[in-house]
Amino acid sequence: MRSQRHEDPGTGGAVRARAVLVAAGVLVMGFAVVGSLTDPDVAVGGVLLFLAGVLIVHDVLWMAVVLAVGAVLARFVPARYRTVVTAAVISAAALAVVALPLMVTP
Amino acid sequence: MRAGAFPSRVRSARLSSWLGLALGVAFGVCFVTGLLSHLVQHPPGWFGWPSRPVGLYRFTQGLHVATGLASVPLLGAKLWSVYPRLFQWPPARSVVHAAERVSVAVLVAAALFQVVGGVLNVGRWYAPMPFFFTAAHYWVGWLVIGALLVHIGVQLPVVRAALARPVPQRPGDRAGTEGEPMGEDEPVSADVAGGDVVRGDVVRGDVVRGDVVRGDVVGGLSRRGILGGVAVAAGLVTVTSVGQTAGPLSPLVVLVPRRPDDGPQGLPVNRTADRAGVRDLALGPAYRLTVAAPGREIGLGLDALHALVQHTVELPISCVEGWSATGLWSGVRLRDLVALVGTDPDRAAVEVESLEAAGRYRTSVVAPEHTRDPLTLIALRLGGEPLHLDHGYPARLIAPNRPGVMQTKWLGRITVRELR
Repeated sequence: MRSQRHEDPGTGGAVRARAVLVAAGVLVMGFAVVGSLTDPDVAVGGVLLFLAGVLIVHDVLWMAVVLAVGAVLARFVPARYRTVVTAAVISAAALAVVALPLMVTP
Repeated sequence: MRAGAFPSRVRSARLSSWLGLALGVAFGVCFVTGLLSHLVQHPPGWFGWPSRPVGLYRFTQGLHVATGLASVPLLGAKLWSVYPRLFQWPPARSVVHAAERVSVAVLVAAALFQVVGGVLNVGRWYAPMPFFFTAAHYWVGWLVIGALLVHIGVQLPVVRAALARPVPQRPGDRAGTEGEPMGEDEPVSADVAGGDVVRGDVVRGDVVRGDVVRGDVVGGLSRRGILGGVAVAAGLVTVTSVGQTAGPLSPLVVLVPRRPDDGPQGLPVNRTADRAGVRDLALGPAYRLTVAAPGREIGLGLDALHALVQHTVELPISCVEGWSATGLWSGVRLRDLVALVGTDPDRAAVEVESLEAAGRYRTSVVAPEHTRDPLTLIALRLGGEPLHLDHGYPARLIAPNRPGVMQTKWLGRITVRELR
């Protein structure tokens, strides 16, 4: 059964606050787009490529690895060690990501 | 996606909300410190940047990089937590829903762009980035903040509800809920209020019946465990990298390419003389530092520069990549050179030019605050020895509270402008 989205939007004040946030956000995004198109230092094609690239690599490759590791942990690590092991894996992954450029560059 | 495709029951609105809150704070800090760094390097007319405290930029840029690196595990955990929502069906229930999904895609892509790009920049691996990092990082910073504002506006009631409900005290709480199983047709608002059932695509009946609904602990791994694990990861990343700017922690630096004492004369170098193509010009006997003011121009050779009154100051080089190191610099006060060409140093601005023929940072403008500051030097020596070629021999600019890219090396010309 599909869950229905049932959200109480809140009082009038909350609705206004949300509208302001969304409007401000849209304006700021517009500023970013216009600014990057008019800045001669910005290679728009390269930026778009990298934006799409990180999104796809993360959502397809990275998450596949993460979910696989998670499944292995759930299957093989006894419940009482799972928190510590998971914490260690999260740390190892974070450190590996930050250190990646160091391992690649000469 | 079929029900149960994402079996981890640690995912919840509450987990996503906590991670989102932490990430929002981190990105806010990064945005403010990053904007500041941009304004210091490209000051619009209304922006004034003081020359004291000496280490202010070092602090703000160090904070920027440290917060950005700590965001790696935060962002990773947040995206894991909400990943099932990528597979919502139908993909767009309405135009508004489609717009919201597009804005989330922009947010995720931009957040990854900033964090991954930042990690690559700190590690100085530019090959994967087919653009000039600094300008792109600046504009996508605005993009990510805009998308974040939209996201907060959309999700505000969900977050409020998810964070507001009282937390069950212990796993034993589950006993109290077995007598009140969640009905299959309860709307998601109860899910939000309950807080711990996987939302989105998993059929509620499968997950809920007979399983822990309230309480944090599910199969040994709890929300607090995840949050704790993320906090530890963020702490470890910070401890092993922030030493690039915080001296006492420098022995722990393993994750970034630079320690503060790593380089010629005990100070790191980003751009070497050979990369800048200035070796012959800098070492040649015909070297002259030209100091020009309206109507006057003088050329000073190295001997003439050394003959002027020398001063010694201790100032940091604070790089935009988040590392910094302090050096003991000796040389001529910039304000003394300004006075030498007949201009009042308390009312002057200066432009310095490098021998480097081409390059983004071959010139820099020294604003009045820095020009008149007695700590601002045209440095000839570092640590008592003549400047190493890679540190800007024969002369470089060193000023307090200024990003490293603006401490121009291999100076060839100084142009003085008097302010009205």
